[in-house]
Amino acid sequence: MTAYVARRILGLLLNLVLVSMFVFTMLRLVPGDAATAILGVNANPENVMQFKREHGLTGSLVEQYVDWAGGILTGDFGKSLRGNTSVTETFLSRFPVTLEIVLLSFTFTVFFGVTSGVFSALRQNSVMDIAVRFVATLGIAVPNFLLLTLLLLIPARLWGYAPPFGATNPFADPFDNLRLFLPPTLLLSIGSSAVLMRFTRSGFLEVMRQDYIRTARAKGLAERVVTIRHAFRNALPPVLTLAGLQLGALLGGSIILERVMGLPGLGSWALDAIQLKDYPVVMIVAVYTALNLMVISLIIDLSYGLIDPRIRYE
Amino acid sequence: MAQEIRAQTLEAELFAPEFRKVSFAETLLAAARPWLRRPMGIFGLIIVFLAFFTAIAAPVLAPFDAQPFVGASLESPNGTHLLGTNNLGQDVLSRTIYGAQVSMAVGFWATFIGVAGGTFLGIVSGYFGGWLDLIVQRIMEVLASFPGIMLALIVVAALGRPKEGGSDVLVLSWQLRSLSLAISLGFIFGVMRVIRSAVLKEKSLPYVEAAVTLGASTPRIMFRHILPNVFPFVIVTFTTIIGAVILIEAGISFLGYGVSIGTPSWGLDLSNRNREYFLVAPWVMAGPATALTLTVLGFNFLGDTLRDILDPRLRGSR
Repeated sequence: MTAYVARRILGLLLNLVLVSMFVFTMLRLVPGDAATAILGVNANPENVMQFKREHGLTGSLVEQYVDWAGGILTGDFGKSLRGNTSVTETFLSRFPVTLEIVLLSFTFTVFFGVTSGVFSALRQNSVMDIAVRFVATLGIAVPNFLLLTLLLLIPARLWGYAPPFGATNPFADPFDNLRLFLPPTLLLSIGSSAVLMRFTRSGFLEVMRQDYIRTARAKGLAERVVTIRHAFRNALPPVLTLAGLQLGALLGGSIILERVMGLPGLGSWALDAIQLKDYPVVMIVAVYTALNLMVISLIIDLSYGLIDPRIRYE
Repeated sequence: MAQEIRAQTLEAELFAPEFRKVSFAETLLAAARPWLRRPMGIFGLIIVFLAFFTAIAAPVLAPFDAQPFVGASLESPNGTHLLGTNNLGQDVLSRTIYGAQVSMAVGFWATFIGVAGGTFLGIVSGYFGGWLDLIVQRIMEVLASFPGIMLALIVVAALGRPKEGGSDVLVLSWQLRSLSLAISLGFIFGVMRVIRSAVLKEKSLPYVEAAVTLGASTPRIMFRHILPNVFPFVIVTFTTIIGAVILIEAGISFLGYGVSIGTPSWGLDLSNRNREYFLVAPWVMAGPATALTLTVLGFNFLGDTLRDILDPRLRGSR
């Protein structure tokens, strides 16, 4: 177990290095350089040189990468090419917004996805089952940006209401904060809930057909015990894996949500940065996102052992 | 020897009553039978056909050109402009019809690149195993470490935003190649995993061993023997991901980082930039929103049905 975790963490770190190299190279492939993008085409060549020296844009690609990676080891992610502010500071101020979006929408996804999936499977082919599946099929097809745009447009048209611009601290005024975050995160979770629901349903149906379920029923166990203790537990591992994959979709969706709602999170920050070739910003967001997804997938793999004691890690 | 066997087979076909020629019509009927019990599949098939047809025949179908200002700004739906006009006075119906071109071109090609790349890597990685497998898995994991839309945004910035024009779906497909490639990267990993695990199963079957014994070359075994046997998975992954691909293209264009301003595209026409106009003229949204949702729905129905028919393990579970 310890050896397994150690090996996974080692693999994770290697992957993180590869991810940062990939993004770094990609951003340097961008036609035109960052200095011209930020200083303008008519900038004084001396200013351009000075700008490049200040931001470590001189030297070969490898030298630049080593320079950047060396900074990280000392906790320095560099300065934004635009505005010259510390990337780490801006990251820390924007990070809670994205974290809240992803946490809320992930909770909704798991809750609605799993409960409606199990519910639908237990009442296979009933009217409710068909209704839930219909909503899920539609939920996968409707683009999230359309739902979010409608979320802003409908209240605006009916009551002239617009949500306040910018984000508030969830701890200072939780009610105010949730009024802003709940509706869009609920909408964002529709698509991934639907994917998870369909997967949970088919997995659950599969398990309910197994012999040990029949045995459990034959022993005279209450139906509730059969579903929860026997079926649910066995259907859970693949559902968890898929839930982890949905986290990626939600992180991507957060970019769109932040842009539509005008929230100052990591997604909208990276979006502007990609356009302006502000590479330290893109790097920190990309590395953070990748780390996030890898850690969650590790946690999910480890949780398998808790759910199913037969699973051994080697 | 071969001649002899052929003669015997022929004889068997001619004289044994249980061997009879199957007519083309019967083959067709046998192929169509599973569809007849799945109305959603037929619905999906019709939508998909219509979407491709609209994309190809857009110049004939659309009442106006997509780009010129053919009416007043924000006309509500009327006899001349069935779905009204947008803020620039462009005909919404015509833009919706032409919008099918971007969605279908990028949707098809990004899926094609993703599935072809994933299938190739899956077969090679699964068949060879060992260090090659390890390297392929590592590299693919890097691509899988990002949300698809973020990866596509970064790669499309690296390759350069497409500059497209014209109203021919094939020309557009070529012009939008960087966008298609960028979107496809996010899907290669998933396809590769599916095909790889299928190849791992196939690899141990007697026919592969037989081909090896007969001295078939490795590429021949991989692509003439194994590929046809995992092909149902290729088709199923293709139809399963194309809906998601179309949504990602629309999402990127919605954010303003995909197709150029002015190009009729469902994502771009629903873009944030036009939100203030949607408030006073909601009809501007109706065309692209309905077309986009319906197309993705159609592809998903088709994908579900194909998976249901081609993958017996999942039969009836969805």
